[in-house]
Amino acid sequence: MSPPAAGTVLLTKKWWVVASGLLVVGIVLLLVGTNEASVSLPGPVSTTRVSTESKASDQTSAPAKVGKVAGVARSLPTELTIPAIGLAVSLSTLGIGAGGVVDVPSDIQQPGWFKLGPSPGQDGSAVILGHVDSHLGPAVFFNLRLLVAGDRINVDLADKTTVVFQVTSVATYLKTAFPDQLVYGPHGSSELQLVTCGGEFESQTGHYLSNIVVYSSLISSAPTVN
Amino acid sequence: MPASPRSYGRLSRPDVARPSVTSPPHAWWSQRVRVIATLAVVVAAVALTLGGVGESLLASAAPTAPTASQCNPPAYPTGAGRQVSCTIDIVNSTTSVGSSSSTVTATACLAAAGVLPPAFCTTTTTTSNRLVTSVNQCNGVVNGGGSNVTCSVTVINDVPTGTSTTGDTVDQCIGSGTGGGTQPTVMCSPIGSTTSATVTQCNGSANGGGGSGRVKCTVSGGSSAVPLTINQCNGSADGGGSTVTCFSNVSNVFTASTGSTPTTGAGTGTTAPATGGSTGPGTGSGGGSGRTTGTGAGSSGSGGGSAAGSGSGASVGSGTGAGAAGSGHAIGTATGVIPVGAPQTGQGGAARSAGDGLIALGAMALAAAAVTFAVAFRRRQLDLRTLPTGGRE
Repeated sequence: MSPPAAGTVLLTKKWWVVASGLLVVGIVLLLVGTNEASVSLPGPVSTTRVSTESKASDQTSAPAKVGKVAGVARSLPTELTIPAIGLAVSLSTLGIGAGGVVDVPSDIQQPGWFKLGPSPGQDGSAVILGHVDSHLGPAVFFNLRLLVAGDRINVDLADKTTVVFQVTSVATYLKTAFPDQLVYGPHGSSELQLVTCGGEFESQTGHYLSNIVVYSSLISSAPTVN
Repeated sequence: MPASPRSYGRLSRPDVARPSVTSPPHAWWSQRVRVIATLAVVVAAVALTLGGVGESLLASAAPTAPTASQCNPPAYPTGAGRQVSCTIDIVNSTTSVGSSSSTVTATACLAAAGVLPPAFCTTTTTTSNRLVTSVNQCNGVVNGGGSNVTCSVTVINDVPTGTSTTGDTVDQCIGSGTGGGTQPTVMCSPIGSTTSATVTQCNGSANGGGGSGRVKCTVSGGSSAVPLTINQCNGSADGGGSTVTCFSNVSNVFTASTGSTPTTGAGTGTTAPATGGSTGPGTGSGGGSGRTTGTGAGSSGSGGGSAAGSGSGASVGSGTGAGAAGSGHAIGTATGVIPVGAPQTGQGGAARSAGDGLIALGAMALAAAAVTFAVAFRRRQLDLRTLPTGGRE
C-alpha cells in the first residue's frame, strides 16, 4: 500500500482545524446566548411615572386617585383603546383556574377582562390582563410599561357606553409579593387595573419574575361613538 | 345490565367467513382496484363523520337560556382517543326592579387526545333576558379509551345587595376512578353524595383503569343567589387510560343601588287657601326615587323635582304642579372574587429573542463541529492505514 500523499495529510489537518474552530465558536455563541436569555425587559418609564418597587408595604398603599366620578352599571367590556401606545383591541373574558389563580388569555394578542370582578366603570377594581410577550416576540401589552400618569384608557362596554380612565400610577411588583387586594380589591371608586408581566426573565422557568400594574381611575363615561 | 354510555359508538366487526380464492396473475390489478376502492370508502366515511362533528360543534355550542348545554352525545362522540375540552361561563344579572339578563360564553373543543385548546375550538356568546338556571355538558362522551375530558362551568350572579342565597350542594366523584390503577385514582374536592344537588359532576367516570389521579374534580363557590343546577362530566371517559378533569365555580357579586335613577316626577299640589276670586299660589313638588315614578303630595313630596303650581278657587283652591325630573344614577359597588397569586403573562420572547438566536447558532456550530470532527477522525484513520508501520503524518 502506498503512503498517503503530503496533500492528503494536510487536508486532514485542515479538517481538525475547522472542527476545533467550530467547537470554539459554538461554545462562545452558547455562552453569550445563554447570558442574553436572562436579560430583563425595561421597566416602566421612570421620568414621569409614579413607580413602586416591590415591597410588602405596597399591599396596603392605594394608588393616587383622581376626582371621584360616579360609576356606571355593570356591562361586558368589549374593546380596549389606549391612544398613548396606539393600542385598540377587542377583549376576551377570564375566570379563575386551579388554586384560585386568575386565568391568563389564551391569545397573546388579546387581553382579557377578569369577569368575576367588577366591570370597567363599576365601583370597585376592574382588572384586564394581557401578555407582554410569548416565545415568538412581543405581545399585546408589550408597551404597557410606557404608560405614564395622565394617559387615557378607554373601554367600550356592551351597553354602548365608553368609560374613560386616567392613569394614576404604574408599578412593578415581584410575583412573590403580588398585592392581590390592592389590584383586585375595592378602593372606594371606579378603577381599572391593567396587568402584564415584566422585570427580569428567568429562563429556567420560562417566566418573568415581576408583574407590571397600571392603575387608573374613572374620569368620565359617555355613549360610545362609532 | 343497564345501558351504558360506553355502549355508544362501539363498532362491531362481523366475523364473516370468506371463501378461499386463488387469484390468477391477471387478477392482481383487479384486487388492487378493490383495495383502493375500499380505502376510498373508508376515507370518505371518516371525512363525513368529522364534517358532522364540526357541524354539531357549532350547533351544540349555542346554548339558549335558561339551559346551557353542549359537548354531549350525539353531537359529541362516544368513541376513543379524543380530547374534549368545554367551558361554559355564565353571567346572570338581576336588578332591584326585577329585570334579568344573562350572558353565556360557551367554548367547545374536540380534537384527538393530547391536542389542547385553543385548537379545534368553537366559541359562542349568547345573551338572553332570562337567567340561566341549568347547565349540562360533557356527559356520556368519549368512553372508548385513551380520552381526556376537561370541562368547566363558571357562574357569576350579579344581583342586588340583600338578595338571598342558597348553599350549594354537591354530588361529585361517586362511582368513578375504578378499574385499576395506582391509588388515589380520584382526587376530588369535595367528595359528596347529595340527591338533586346543585352540582352533579364526575360521577361514574374514568372507570376503565389507568393512572393515578385520573379523576380530578372541584366545586368551589359555596352559595348561589340564583337557583341553579350544574350537571357535567358524568358517565364519561370510561375507557382505559382516560382522564376526567372538571371544575365548577359559582360566585355572587352583590351590587348596591345607592342612588336614584333619572325619573320624571309628576306631582299633585294643593294650593294654599285663597280668597274668593283670586288666584292662589300653589306649590307642587314630586319626583321619583329609585327606579319608580313617584308621586308627591303638596309641598311635602319627595324627590328632586319641584315646580310651582297655580290654582284658583273660592275659599280653597286646588292646583296641579308638574315636578321636574329628579336627578340621580345607579351606583353599583361590586367586589367580586379576588384571585390569589401573580398572573403569568409573559414567556420571555421579547427579552430573550436575541439570546435564542445566538443559542441556535451555537447549537448549529457545535453540530457542525461534531460532523467535522467525525470526518477528520475518519480521514486520520484512513491516513494511518496507508502509512508504513510506525509512519507519521
